[in-house]
Amino acid sequence: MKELHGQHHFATDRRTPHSLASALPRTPEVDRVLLHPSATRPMIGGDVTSMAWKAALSGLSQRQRVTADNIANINTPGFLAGRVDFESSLRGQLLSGDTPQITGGTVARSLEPTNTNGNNVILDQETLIATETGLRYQLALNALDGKYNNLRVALRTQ
Amino acid sequence: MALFGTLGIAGSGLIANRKWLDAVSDNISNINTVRRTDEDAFQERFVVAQAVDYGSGTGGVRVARAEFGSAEGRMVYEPNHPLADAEGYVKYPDIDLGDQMTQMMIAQRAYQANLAIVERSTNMYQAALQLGRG
Repeated sequence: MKELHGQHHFATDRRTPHSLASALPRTPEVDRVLLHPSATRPMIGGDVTSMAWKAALSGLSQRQRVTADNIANINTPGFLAGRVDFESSLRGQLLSGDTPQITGGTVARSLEPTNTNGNNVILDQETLIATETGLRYQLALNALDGKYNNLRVALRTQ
Repeated sequence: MALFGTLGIAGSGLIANRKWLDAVSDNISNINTVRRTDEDAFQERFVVAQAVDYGSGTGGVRVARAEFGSAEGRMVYEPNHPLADAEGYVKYPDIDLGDQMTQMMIAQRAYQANLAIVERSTNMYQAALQLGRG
């Protein structure tokens, strides 16, 4: 019991006189240990490569949603097609050595010429984007799946 | 952001285009609806599409309202028709079949395009659900 630090002893033993509280051994004050930023990320799946693939997956699924939005509005008067850019911020983060964050892309409105009802969605263009986005999504998924397979191999104990 | 949001957006496109097809088929089925000259002719149905804002809303499209064309119709001389007036005229709706067929094709193609997105995004989600299975 005497080895316990003051706070605990003081709380459990109600017979301790109040005046003794200051005489009891106290936990020494320690400076908070500053963790390296890498230690605050999850150990599994938080490395640069995994985070880059995850950011890509997030951006690609957003692009697919915006493409679906464009096609849903293919006949809506005055609708301007949306374009998603996540590559430039991801590239910037990777070039500066930061671990990519999953922030999602930025949506900008296409400035291409509109037709007579003020709409500038071109179906074949959107279909191409949808196809390419789907393939890129599969690529990122396969890469991430490979990372997880490596983890599974590493976790195997015998 | 809704789970499987792409499906909701493409689904809204399917619904809007189906409503447009409904309006077109209503117009075509009533293209020969004869009325008395003192009555309103069958009015052409229009659907008004409106984008649901992607940033603040879910994205996609909705049919904001239906609008109706002219009730004037066109006068046709059919003196033997039971609804004909004293001068022998009846009222036909002012709907152009060629125009309706064009609209039907546009709506049908747009419907197919949205359906293609549904299939594509389903494949994407299916693949994502296999992640980490090994």
